[in-house]
Amino acid sequence: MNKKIYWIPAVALILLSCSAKKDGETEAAVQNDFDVFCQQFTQVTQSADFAQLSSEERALRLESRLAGELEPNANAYIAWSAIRNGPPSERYALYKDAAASAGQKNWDCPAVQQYGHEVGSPHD
Amino acid sequence: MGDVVGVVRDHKNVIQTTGGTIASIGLEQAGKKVAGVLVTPATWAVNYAVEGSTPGAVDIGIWLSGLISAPASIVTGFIKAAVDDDINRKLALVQAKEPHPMAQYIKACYNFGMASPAINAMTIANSGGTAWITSVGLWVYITDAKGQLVGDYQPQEFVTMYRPKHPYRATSTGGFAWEVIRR
Repeated sequence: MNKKIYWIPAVALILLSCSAKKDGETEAAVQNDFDVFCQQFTQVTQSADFAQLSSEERALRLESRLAGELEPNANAYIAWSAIRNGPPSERYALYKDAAASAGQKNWDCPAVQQYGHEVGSPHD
Repeated sequence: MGDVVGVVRDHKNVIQTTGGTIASIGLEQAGKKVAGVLVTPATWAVNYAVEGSTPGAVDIGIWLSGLISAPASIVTGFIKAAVDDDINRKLALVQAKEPHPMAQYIKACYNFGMASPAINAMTIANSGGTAWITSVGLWVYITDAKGQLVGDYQPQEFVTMYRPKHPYRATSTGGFAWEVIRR
């Protein structure tokens, strides 16, 4: 009887380890969200007419790209939807905070750092 | 009658597991969800310590079947209970520092949407509300009595606050231009 009892923690540990794997997969998916955002943002900044577009036009272009690449409930997409209307000078820090809060403490994106304040609603 | 007594005696742990479930509901209502989750195995430990009795095969079978049939929900439930306990404790600390009439309408950003609390806070500001994080590390926001976001609340204590920029201006996307205030 006592030997049978030892199976309880063993089974529980196996199940917990399976659960931990799923958590890891979720984290990977979250990382992908912000990496996709960075990739799309970078491509927008590299377009030939980027300099001629207003910040709102750039945001519209990025929005159309992201809508096809990210799920509406993705952390990166929700963050973008809000930060595009946030203060331009704070946007890079806000993206970094958003990524960190979603589990990506080391996320960075040079294009966002350089042009983040020039993509989104103007605050003039 | 004798058979019933025998069944009750032999499977006391099953009976107490049921009682434990009821007790766990009481504990959860008291804001101690982690304790509630732990009640069921705890009844076995108490029985062993007090009477030297161990759970029977039926007890273990029932407990294991629940564990095997719904492992994800058990793990998720345990983690959520721990998170809820922590949030409730921190929210009480935040509310204690705000004026009494308004404090009851302060809520945790954790429950606002599907994203992380920090991202939810940004969404709240973008939607016309005030969200802030205090020194206890909890993102919160405030509504009026009807549940509408409040855009001009000035919290007594905050580290960083997001709120619509004054004068209010709707953007082409339907959100508000918002600002970041750091103390």
